[in-house]
Amino acid sequence: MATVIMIYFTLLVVASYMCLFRMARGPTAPDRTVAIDILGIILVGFCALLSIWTGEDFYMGVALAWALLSFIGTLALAKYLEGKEFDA
Amino acid sequence: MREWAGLIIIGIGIVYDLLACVGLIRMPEVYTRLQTATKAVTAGTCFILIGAVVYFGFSPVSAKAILCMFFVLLTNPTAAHAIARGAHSSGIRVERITAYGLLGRRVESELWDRIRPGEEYEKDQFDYMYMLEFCPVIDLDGHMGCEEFFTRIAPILGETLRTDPQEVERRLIEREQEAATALEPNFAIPHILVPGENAFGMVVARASGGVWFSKECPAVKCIFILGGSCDRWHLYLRSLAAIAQTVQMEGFYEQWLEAQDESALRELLRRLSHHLHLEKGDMKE
Repeated sequence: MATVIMIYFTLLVVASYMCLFRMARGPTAPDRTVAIDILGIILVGFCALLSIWTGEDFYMGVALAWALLSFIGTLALAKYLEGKEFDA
Repeated sequence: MREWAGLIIIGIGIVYDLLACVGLIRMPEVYTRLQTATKAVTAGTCFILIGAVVYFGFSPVSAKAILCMFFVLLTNPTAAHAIARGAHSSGIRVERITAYGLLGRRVESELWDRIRPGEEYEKDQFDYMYMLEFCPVIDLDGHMGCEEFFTRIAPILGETLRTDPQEVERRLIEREQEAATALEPNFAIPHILVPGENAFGMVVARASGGVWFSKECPAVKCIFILGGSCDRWHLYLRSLAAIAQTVQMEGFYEQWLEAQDESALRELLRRLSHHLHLEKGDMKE
């Protein structure tokens, strides 16, 4: 069972690196924003898997907070892309 | 046993996540990347969380996982929508090849490519054709002054250029005061520069009652309004040249007045510019 979880971790890390690649390559700002959004959601899955691996339940709380924070971050970036003020 | 079931479900979710990231890398432009990645990742992460629920069984952690799943399902599509909106208003267009296939002009262009491959003027001409195909064509009734005409045109042009209509109207009136834009008694090309970049648009209008532009041109019936930002200046000149050639063609004005409605007007423009297109090609050879 530990081996299976390790394989899962590896695959998620590979997925995260793909996001990082897109973030580094761009070529436009919206591309990077999409990559950031996706990375955030993948990390939520990563935290869930971490809580299974360690048996600690607070990792699930981290996942919960992360999902909401990454949403707010993405919205802020999208507003920035629209070229509006943040309070508009 | 239950643990293994949970892990298998998590495995499915991870396959989704991986495929989403492959899509993120392989897709050609923002919108396709967005649609591949966000959907698949939402599904993938939800599967991982469902797997965790199955793994933990009935416990507080499962409750958190369900709550988390709820938030991911709620927030991720919203975020994707916001990004798409942001990308659109920051001036990124859907790649022409995508839009083109959808809009069904493909056969014609392929034919054209086959007849005369790789010549510069083709693309120029094509841009104008493309614009004619999709620019707003409007038909106005009654006689009016040019200021009233600009007031009616400004919201339409403003939408094409993504600029404030009042700004567009102000600039059109200013431009008209600087120098008359009516070139002949029945034909006018008002054109303006707008702030920003990557903006270019055209509106074609027929005024059945005529528009008063100046003493010499009291009832102009065929009006092409062009607007664009400084960096699109080349498109500007090209379109002006193409419009001038179109309207000078024999019988244009008669047909223009006879056309039934807006779609007939568009069809007329399209036919004439296509004709022009072919003529130009013959001259080159």
